[in-house]
Amino acid sequence: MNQYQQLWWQQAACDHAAFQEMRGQGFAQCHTLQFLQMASEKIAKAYFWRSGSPPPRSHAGFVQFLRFLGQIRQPERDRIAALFTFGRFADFQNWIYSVQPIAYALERATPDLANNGPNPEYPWPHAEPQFTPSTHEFEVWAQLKSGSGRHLMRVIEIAVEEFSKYADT
Amino acid sequence: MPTTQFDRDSMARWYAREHLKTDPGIEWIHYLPTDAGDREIRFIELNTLLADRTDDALEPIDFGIEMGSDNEHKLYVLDVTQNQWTRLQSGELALPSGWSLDDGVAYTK
Repeated sequence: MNQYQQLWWQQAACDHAAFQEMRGQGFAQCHTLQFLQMASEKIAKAYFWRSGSPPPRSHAGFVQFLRFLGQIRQPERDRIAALFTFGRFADFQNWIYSVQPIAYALERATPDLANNGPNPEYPWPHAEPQFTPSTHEFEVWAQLKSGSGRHLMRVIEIAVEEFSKYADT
Repeated sequence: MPTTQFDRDSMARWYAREHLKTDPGIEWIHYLPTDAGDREIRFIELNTLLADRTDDALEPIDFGIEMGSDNEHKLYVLDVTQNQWTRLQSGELALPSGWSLDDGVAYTK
């Protein structure tokens, strides 16, 4: 792991700890969702820094992170599958395919990717606000509470906690 | 410096297959070998699940693979929306510096 990865990992872990605290305390969905989105974006960028080149500044990146985990080459496949609680790498790849729509929805939970729609920070639409995040029931939050969504949150947790075990893979 | 042989085209084919297998948002992948380094794979991936972007700068993700080993190589991935792809083709948007669509190879599901 290089020094850049270390810094991004630290911030991802801090954001994720805040997410877990807020989730446990029953904070508004907007705050809980925002910190999960930030943690997922930052662990993705920590991983991308393995190249030594800065990743794009955009808030996007989490879906590419999952895509890249799904392309890991032999002989690391079994180890990575096991790290993320899958028995076979093919099962891990199939799971990534099935959960990516939720990952895309989580990635879009930022003001600049929400296309003037629901986002966890600002009232929308921008020109004539009619909704505010603090009282909004986010569709992606409902998806995250489903079986697949809970599994995705568990994988994000592992991605953060066990980063040092796959950062260079 | 890596010393082993590296079959860039077959590696690109393999990566494209893996990406299409793990991401339902990817409609197709264009592999762009023109002007790329010997150990550099450049992909444009048309992504139907990506949020549309208004920014004009297209930045690929540099995904270094097996860095420091004999098999070291680079995989650059640029996800684009349909709107961005249309604007790229019309010249309204620019490809990353040094990239070319000439002799691109398409991979689909």
